Amino acid sequence: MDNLPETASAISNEDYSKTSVHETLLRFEPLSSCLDPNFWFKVCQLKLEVDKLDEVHRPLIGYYTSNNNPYMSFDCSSFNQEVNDETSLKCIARGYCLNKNTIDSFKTCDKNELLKEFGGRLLDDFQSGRAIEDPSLIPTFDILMYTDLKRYIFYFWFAFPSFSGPKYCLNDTPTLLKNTFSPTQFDLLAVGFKNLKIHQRGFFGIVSTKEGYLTVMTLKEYIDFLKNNTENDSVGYLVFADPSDLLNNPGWPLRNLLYLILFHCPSIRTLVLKVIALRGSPTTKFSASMLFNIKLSSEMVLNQDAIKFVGWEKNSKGMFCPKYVDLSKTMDSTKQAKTSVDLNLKLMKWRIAPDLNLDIVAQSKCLIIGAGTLGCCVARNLMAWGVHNITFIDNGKVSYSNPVRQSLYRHSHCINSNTYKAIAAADVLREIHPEINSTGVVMSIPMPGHAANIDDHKNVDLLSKLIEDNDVIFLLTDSRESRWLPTMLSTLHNKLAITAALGFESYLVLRHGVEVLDVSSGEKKLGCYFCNDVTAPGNSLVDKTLDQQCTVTRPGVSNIAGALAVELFVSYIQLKYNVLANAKCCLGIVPHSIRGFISDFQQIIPFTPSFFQCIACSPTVINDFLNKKEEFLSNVFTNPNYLEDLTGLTSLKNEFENIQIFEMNDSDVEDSGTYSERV
Amino acid sequence: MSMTYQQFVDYATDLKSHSDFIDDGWSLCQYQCPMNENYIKYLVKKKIQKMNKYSLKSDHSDSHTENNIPVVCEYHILYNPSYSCPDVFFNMWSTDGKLLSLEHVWSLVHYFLKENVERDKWNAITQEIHPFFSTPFFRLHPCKNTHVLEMLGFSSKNNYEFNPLIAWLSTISPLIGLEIHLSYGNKDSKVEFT
Ligand SMILES: [Zn+2]
Repeated sequence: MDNLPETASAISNEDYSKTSVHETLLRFEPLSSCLDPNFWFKVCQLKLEVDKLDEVHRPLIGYYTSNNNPYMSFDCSSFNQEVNDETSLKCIARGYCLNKNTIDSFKTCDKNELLKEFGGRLLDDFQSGRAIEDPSLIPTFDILMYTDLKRYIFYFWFAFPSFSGPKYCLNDTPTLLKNTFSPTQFDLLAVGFKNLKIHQRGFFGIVSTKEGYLTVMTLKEYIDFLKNNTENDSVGYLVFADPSDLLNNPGWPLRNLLYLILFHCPSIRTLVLKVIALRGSPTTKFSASMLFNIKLSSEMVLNQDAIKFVGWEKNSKGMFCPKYVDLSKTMDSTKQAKTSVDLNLKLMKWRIAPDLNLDIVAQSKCLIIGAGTLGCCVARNLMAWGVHNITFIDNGKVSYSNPVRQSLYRHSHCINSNTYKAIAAADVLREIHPEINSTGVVMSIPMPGHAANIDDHKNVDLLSKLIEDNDVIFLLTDSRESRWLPTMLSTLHNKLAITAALGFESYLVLRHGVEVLDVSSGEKKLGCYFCNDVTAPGNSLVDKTLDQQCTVTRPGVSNIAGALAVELFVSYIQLKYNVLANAKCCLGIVPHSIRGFISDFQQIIPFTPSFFQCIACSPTVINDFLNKKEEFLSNVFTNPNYLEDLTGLTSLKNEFENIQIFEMNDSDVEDSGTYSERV
Repeated sequence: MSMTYQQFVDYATDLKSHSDFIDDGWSLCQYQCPMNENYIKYLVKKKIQKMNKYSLKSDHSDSHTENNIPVVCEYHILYNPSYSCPDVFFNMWSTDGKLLSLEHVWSLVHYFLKENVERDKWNAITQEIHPFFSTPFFRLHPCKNTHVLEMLGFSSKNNYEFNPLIAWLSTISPLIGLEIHLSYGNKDSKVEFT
C-alpha cells in the first residue's frame, strides 16, 4: 500500500478526453447468469432443510468457459465446495448466495451498500493475496435472492462485483493470437493449460524465452516474476480464459485481474501489458484466442472508502433490476402432474384429432350416481380425459367384497365398515391426481313404491339441485327403481344423462335427458331407459334373495360399460346441439345406445325412440312433478301403480297382455354399491 | 435393422473425436447402472444458443416475434437396448432456469423445419422420464429412429464409409433444434488447424 501514490477517485473528464484522442478505451463484456433447473431444486432443499430462517452467505461455485459464451452457469453442483473433475474444460468462480427470508427484506435492503459489501470482500481477497493463491476468487459473484417456497416463485439478482476504475486503454487493435504464436507455441499453451489445477485455469501467465519456448506458470508464479521484471519486452503474457463473444472486447474477468495485477505489481503500471484472451478450447488449442496490448493506468484509488464498485446484472429488458421466475409448473408436484396429464391429452389432439375440444371435456362437471364398480370405472376414465370436477352420490359403505372389483377402494376402507363409498371415492381421486376437484355426497336416491322415507322429499330437492349444477349425469345404480328419479330430473333440467346397466354377460349404455328433436316433425326423438319398457318401477328389491341382487356379472362387463359411458360422453360433447342418433363428431359417431354381449363378443348400437307414455321422461310425468310436486311425489313413493296409472300404462298393459318387453333383468344386475346393501 | 451397443459406442466415439476437432461440444459420458454396476456410455451436448422465436400458428405461417433469446439446450444420445438403436433425449430452458414447454420448444425450432417434417412432428416427440436422471425430458420416439436408420440403408452387418450415427443425427436434428456442422458429413475434408 505504501508504495502506491495517493490519487483522486476517478479519472477526470479532462484526462479521459486526453486519452481517448489517440487510444481506444478498453471495454469489458459483462457476464450474464445462466441457471440450470436443478439449481432451484437445490436452493429449495437447502432453505428448507439447512438454512431455514438463517440469512447466511452460502459459498457457491459458478462455471464459465472460453467458448464464446459470456455466461456464468450454476447448477446443483454449484453448492459443493470441491471441484474434482480435472478433465472438465470449465473454469470455476467462487462467490456467495444470500437468501433473504422475506420479500420485503429482499426489496428494501440497500443495494448500493450490499454491492459495497461484496466489493469489500473482493478487495480483501485481493489485498491479502488469497486471490493470487486461488484465482477462482477473481471472477467473483453474489446472488441476492428471495424464494417463495409455497408458490415456487424466485426473485434473484446477480452481481459480478468489480471496481469502477481505473480505466484502461488499448495500445493497438487487438489481433488474433495466431498472428503471433506458432502452432508449436499453441501446442505448448494447450498442454500447459491442461497441467494446471482446475482453479488455476482461469488466470495464469506465460513466459517466453528468446527462442520462443513457452513456460506456463500459475498466477502466483507469474506475479512473482512480474515483480522482478520491469522491462517491457521480457514480461511475458498474462493469460485469462475469456468468456467474451465480442471480437475486440475482453470478458468481465479481465477487469478484476488487471486490478489485482496493478495492486500487487505497481511497478509495471507504466508498461504495455500483453494479455492473451483464451478463446476456444484445449481440444482446438485455443485457436480463436486474441492478443490485447493494454496500457495500464497510473491512476489507482487507494482510499478504501472512495473505491466504487459496479456489477449488478441487468434483467432481460436491459434494466438494473432483479429477475423473477415462476417455476411452479416444474417444481410443484401437483402442477407438474397437471401439466403432464394435459400434455398427454394435447398430444392426442395434435396427433389424431386436431379438432378435438379438450377444454369442454376438462370443464364439464360430472355427477356420478352410484359409486360401485361402474362408478369407480367411470371416474377413472373421466380423470384420464382430463375432467376436473367429479361428484359422487352414494349412501353405501365400502364392504369387504368391494375392493377387488371397485377400483377406487382398498381393504383399509372396509375395516370397521366405517367408510362411505362416496367419501372414499372422492378422497382416492385426489390421491391419484391432486388437481381433481372431487366431492362425495352420502345420500339415498328416493325410489318409487318404496315405503316413504322421512328424507325423501328433502333428497329429491338435493338431487334436483345436484343435477341442475352439473353438466353430465352418469346413472350407474343397480336397480331400475333408483334410476327413475335421476332420469326424470335429468329430463326436467335438460341435462345429458348416461345410463349404464349390466347383465351377467351383457351391458347397455344409453344417453338421454337432453331433448333431441326431429327437425322436420318437432317430435322428441331419443328414448330413455324406461321408454323401452312398460312396467313402472316397483319395489323389485323386496322379494329377492341376496344372491339375485349381488355380484353375478362377469367382472369385465362393468369395465367395458363404464369405459363406453365415458367415451360416449366425450364424443357427445364435441357436438353442441340436437345430437341425433349416430351423429358424426371429430372422434366418430355418437350413438344413442350401445348394447354388448360378452358370450359372443358382439356389440350393437341401436336407436330407440322416445315413448310418449314413458313413466320417467314423458311430458305428463314432468308436468305433474312441476305442477303439484309434493302430492305427486307422495303418490309415487307410496303407490306402486301411480305412475302406470298416470301415464295410461295400466290400460295399455291390460290391452296387450302378451307384449314382449325388453328389460335388463334386475336379478342379473350386479351390486354396484348402494342399494342392495339396505336389504 | 438394428445397431449393437458396441457399434453405438464406436460411432459415438467417432462422433466425439470429430466434435473435438471442430470444438462442437459433444462429450462422451458414463452412467453407472445401479442394477449391475455396469457403465453405460452416452453422448451429451449442452449449449447456450441465441434463438429466434416464431409464434406457432394454426396455419403454420411464421410470424417473427422476439429475437435472440438465450436458450440452454441439452441433448443426450443414449443407446436404447429395447429398440437396438440410438435414442435422443433433450430439454431446453431459459437462463433463469425455467424449462420450456413443448409448444415453446417448437416455436423456437420452427425456423429449421421443412414443410414435410412440420406435418409429422407431433408423431415423433413425447415427454418422458430420463432413464438415468429420473427427470422429465423430451424424447424423439425410438421407433422413428429405427425407421430413419432403415431409410439411411443401415444394417448392422454392413461396413460403412460413413458413420450411421452421424447420418441419423443430421436427419433428425432439425426436429430438435440441433445444428450439425456440415463437416460431420464430410470428415475427409477436415478443417485444418492454422
Ligand atoms: Zn323415457
